[in-house]
Amino acid sequence: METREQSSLENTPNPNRMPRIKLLNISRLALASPLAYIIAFLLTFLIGGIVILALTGQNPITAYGSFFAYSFFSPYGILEVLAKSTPIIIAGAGMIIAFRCGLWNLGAEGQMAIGAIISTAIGVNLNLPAGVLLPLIFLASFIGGALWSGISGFLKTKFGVHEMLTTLMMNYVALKLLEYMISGPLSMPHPNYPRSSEILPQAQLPFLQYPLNVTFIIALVLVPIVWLLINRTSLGYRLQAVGFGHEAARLAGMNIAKLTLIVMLISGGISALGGTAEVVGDFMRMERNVTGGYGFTAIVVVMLAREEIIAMPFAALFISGMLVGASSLTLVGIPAAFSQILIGLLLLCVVFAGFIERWLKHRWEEKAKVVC
Amino acid sequence: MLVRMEGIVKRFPGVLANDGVDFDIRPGEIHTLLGENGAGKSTLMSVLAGAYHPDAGSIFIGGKKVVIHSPRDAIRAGVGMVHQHFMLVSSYTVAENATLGLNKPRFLIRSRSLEKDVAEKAQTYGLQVDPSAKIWQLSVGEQQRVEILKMLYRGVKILILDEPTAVLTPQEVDEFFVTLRRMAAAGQGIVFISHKMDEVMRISDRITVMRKGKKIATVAAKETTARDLAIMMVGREVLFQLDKADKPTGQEVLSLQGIWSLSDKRLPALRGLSLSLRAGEILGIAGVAGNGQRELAETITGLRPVTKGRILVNQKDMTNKKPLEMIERGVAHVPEDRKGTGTIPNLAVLDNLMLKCYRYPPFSSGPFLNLRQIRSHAGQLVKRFHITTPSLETETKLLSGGNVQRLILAREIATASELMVAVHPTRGLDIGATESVHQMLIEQRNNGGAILLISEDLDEILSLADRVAVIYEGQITGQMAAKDAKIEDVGLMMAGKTMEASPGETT
Repeated sequence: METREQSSLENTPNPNRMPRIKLLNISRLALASPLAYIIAFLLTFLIGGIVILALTGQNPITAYGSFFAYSFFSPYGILEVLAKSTPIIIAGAGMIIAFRCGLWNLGAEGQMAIGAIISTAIGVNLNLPAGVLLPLIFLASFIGGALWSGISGFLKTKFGVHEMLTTLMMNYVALKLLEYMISGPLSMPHPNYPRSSEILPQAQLPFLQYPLNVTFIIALVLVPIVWLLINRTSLGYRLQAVGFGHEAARLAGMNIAKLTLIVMLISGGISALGGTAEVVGDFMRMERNVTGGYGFTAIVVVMLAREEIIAMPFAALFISGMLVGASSLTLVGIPAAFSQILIGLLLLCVVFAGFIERWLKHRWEEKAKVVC
Repeated sequence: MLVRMEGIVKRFPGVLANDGVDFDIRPGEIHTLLGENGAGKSTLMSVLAGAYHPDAGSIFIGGKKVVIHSPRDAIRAGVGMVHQHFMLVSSYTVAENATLGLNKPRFLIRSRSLEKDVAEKAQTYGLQVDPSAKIWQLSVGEQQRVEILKMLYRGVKILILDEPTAVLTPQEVDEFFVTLRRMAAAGQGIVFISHKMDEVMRISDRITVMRKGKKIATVAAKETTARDLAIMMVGREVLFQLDKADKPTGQEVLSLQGIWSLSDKRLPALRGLSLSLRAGEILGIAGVAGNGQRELAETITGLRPVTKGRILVNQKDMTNKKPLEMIERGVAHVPEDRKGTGTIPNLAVLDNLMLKCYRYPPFSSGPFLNLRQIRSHAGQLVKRFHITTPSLETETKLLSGGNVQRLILAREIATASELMVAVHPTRGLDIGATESVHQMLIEQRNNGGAILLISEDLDEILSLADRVAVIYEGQITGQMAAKDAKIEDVGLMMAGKTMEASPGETT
């Protein structure tokens, strides 16, 4: 569209022509996404409020009030929210790596279970000093989870089986394996219900302040590491290239099969640490609900954060808040399951917000592509 | 005067798409809007058709000033636009599509009378199409007629056609022009958006030339020439003669020795093809689409295995090596599909420029990327190859085709390639962009690069290439120096000499 003398960076966009917000100096387009999210949240609580009113006759404002007062404004509630978010953040960090590469690793729950099994097996049986034992537990869990999701990666690269199916199915295999372990090989002597023995004291991580434990810090450290991996390493560059443009990546000499496998390994390995964290930081043993559905919750969290690693912990905290607040709902006569309804609603509304955002952007940029 | 547009201004983030444009349409005329991609033709017409709201300027329809808020408004005012991408429901019939969105049959749809109605309308303008046929059964040309019919059925007086011939075969174009004439004769005002010079000269009554958002001139077709229009459109003399330095060729860079390869359908697409290419030479591969061109490009770049034969790059056997090994041996690829395989549309210009060099120092050290080096390198490429982009972070999908192609060429040339495989490098580009791509290729050749140019455009091949080879059914059926090549001979060879022969596998 342009001739040769008039081109390149210097003389292209005249900043005055852009619809900009003066104060922040950001394009109006950047506001589309927060705005859409606000709409989604309002909509969720509006619909949720109607449901509360219709089904229980309670005042939704009081219900929400007690809901959030407990989760986000009571000292114990806040600690509980942080504690609950820990395995979700870890599993979410693992998932995001795969999602960014266009791989639907929905197997975090199963990978967590593998992590939990390996941590328990080592934590109960290997009497080593803490300085050796704990790193060993984390490393072994990482490898175990990596190999577990590596199976899906292998099936994908070798036979073209979609990873969404295999990772999802492998969840159930892993959960059954966990159940077998606690009622068989790893069972404690004479349990009242299926559970393993307690792990050795030196394998137990301390609580910062009950119920929050040290693994929360591990989760927080993991986030910038994954960010670095995605945004500042050549592996991260490659995985995004493959995620966004398979063919172009192949053309550029990237080995897609190898990369798929690597990504599945790393993703599963990190997710498995979520299970480890629950064993060595919270349960100190393995029980049936040790993974607690956090691997599935992490899917919602990653969607909510739009696969953005920096946004993910916040989404995790918010969802944890909703899960923790559920218990206070019963006090005002609303079933605790209602928070699950709200989370479901939120997911729907966020999907809807995606449409709003696209619509806003469309309106505001009016297809900038026609012109430049 | 059917429509008058005065001083239309339309801004997009970073660009002034329409800068005070005046335009008018008379009843019964075919008025062409001519300009390069991105000149603002489509924007101007989208403003008239209600898709965009102008930032300034006014529109008069039938002498009355109007404000158009939506395409529905526009249709009510008598303006209808047929876009390049059809908006038809493929499981519905022609008649159903024509009446889609109208609240006319309020409750019961009597398809019989509807079809009769639509058929009558079609008859009036000579739009041959069966009103009871389902859309999916129709050819692209017929679907286009349905789109036009849809607008006529809504009673529009001004019909805007956005590059309507882009999807048609030459025979269909002829038919289509007859219909256009018939509609004009019935008093319709027709706006024809195009950048194909010969068609414009054939069909237009008046021509308005746009460049960079501004109207350059409106002229009567009878009083102008293609040459004058081209100058107005591009803003200067178009260089038909390319600056090709007369240099002796160097050593052999590529040698294909009887290679065989399968198409995606597992049928033999290359059948013992042999050719040789030297440094500082452009070898043009001419041929009808689907005679193995794609497979040829993909085997040389390592994307497709050969089942027999050898590939030598710089005297080294590179048969069935991986794409990365080919790249490292100095093979560059400008692929056919610019947006899907040449670039990653959702990633930034920066990322796309780095696709092939990110793995080498100084752009990465150990596992980490060196962003500062990457930025400065990308910035230099953007400048050196005249890529117009608002910033390095802009998503590549927002660039025009010409800029995307320059981006690809910049990337490929920058990776120190000795051999470049360029497939349809200028397809779909306008004159200005085509010219700049040609110059980049010539420059690469003058610097000692070897280029395998695969193109359907014979003129392009004959003007760029030093040698021409014709591919037919996966074999090279003839080779000659480009300066001795006669277009008729090449054409005959492309058809495989015996005219009854099948045109080969479709891929």
